[in-house]
Amino acid sequence: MGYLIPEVLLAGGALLALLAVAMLPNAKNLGSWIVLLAMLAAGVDAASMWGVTAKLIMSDTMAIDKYSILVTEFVLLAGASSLLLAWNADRFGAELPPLMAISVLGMMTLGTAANLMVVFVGIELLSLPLYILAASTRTRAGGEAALKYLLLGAFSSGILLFGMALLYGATSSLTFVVYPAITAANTWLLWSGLGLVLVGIAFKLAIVPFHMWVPDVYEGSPTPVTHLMAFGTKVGAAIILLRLLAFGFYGQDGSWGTLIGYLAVLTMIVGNLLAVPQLNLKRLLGYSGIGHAGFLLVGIATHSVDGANAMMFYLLPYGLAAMAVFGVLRLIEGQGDEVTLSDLRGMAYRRPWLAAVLIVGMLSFAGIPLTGGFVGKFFLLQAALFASQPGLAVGIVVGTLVGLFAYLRPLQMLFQRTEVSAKVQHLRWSVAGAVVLGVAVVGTIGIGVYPAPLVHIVSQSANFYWLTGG
Amino acid sequence: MLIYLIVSLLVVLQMSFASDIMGPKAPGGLKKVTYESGIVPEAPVGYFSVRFYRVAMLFMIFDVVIMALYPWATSLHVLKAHGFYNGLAFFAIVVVAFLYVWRKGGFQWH
Repeated sequence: MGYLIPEVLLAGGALLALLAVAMLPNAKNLGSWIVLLAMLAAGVDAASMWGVTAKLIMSDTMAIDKYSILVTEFVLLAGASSLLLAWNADRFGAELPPLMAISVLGMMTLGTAANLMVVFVGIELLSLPLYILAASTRTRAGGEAALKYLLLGAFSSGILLFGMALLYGATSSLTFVVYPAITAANTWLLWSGLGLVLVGIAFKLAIVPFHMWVPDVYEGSPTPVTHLMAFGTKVGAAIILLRLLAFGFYGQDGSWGTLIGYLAVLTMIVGNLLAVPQLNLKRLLGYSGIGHAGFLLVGIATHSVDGANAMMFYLLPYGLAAMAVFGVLRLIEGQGDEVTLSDLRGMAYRRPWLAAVLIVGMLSFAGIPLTGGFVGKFFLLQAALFASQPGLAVGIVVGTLVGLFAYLRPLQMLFQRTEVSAKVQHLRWSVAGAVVLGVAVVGTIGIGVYPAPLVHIVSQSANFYWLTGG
Repeated sequence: MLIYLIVSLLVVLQMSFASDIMGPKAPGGLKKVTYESGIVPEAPVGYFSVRFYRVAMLFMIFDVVIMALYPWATSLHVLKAHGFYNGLAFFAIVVVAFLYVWRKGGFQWH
């Protein structure tokens, strides 16, 4: 039972914060402090379990291994950075910290899931607080974002559940880690079920035919919530997709590997292509997030240990770059919810440090050497070539080139000498924002210059030995 | 057998159509309006009151919780200490939610 202490700590923190919000409405930041401390405690406790040998707990419904521990650390980083971006901002409402904690709890649940019911509970636990958080500023755009997210989320949950029901019908088990042992499975039922489950997860991960909701939801949500969606939700959906396919269907990659590969190439190119003409920076980041989901799919499509490693590796540089960019946006927007390209005018001269942070984040998104994003894309390319899938490699290169164009346009605005935009002139630093930006920049450049420690950690966590054929 | 069939058929027909044939009719008015839990479905202004739905939703939530407590209480001798503490944890979560709704004024009509 001691394996679930991080989850219990975070759930307890969320309940305590909710109680504090209700009982002591005048205590400023009390809920945020409680949730932040709970996240830190959960992170420390999860890290202390690193030496654990992989095992199934709770009647074979949850898996505790280095994979789940690393996922826990990633999503706690996403949650803590989102919380810090919302620090001191009363207009998001006092309920933001407990809701964020519950959403992060859902992502942690996904990291440990070995059973389809746990997958569903994790996805709903992740999504339901986000529907509320999207509308937490009570603006018209926020309401629109929340409603769109709710309707499409409910729709995709329905598809996911139907797929799970079919999988249960085919295998008479909900514990997907035992599926490879079931030989007498009804093939048509099994593949229809897997297809529907893939569609349901693709909605959450924003894979291209199912990506339509992303830009509107990202644009309308408050920036800290958008950051949580861009970093945390992406981690949660990507790792459960990898776990489901690599554990439950590892012998049958001929049937889903090609499909995931085509989706990956389509998503990389279309997502980055649509990011190019965007004027609103949050929309731009929404499309960029779609493109990055395509890069993550490459790691799954190669169906190898290299691919799994590369995908797990890619999540952290992507998240750190998102922290840098969303942190800068949060400082620029001030009391508003919108940052357009023209709001960045002249920032390199007026706010050189902040502009430098934005440049580091954008270059890491684009995959320029000396940033973490470059190393991540390098490993993905390597995995695609090792798996002798040149199509995926070409997709990575084309997607990166198109993305480069999209990310350089905001940077070009930074150096416009004509006039400094009003939002840049009036922006105020905050301590919490500076912490997020500091961690993001140090992490991005650190991984870019010296990736060996992270490579080592990831190679232990995503070590799916059966994929090597041994 | 035949008589039984005929009689039951007649009774069914009588039940289905008697009120239609003999009852008084007053068509029109509010009868044409969709029944929406006592609230006018097309609000004259852009907003409509959510009070009714709020109360109904809170009632549903806490009612279902109470329903879950009954089987828990009656089967404690099987569940033993493990089940007891799990149920208690569930109940604690519900109490926190209850306190939150209470302090936020969710139980007041206005």
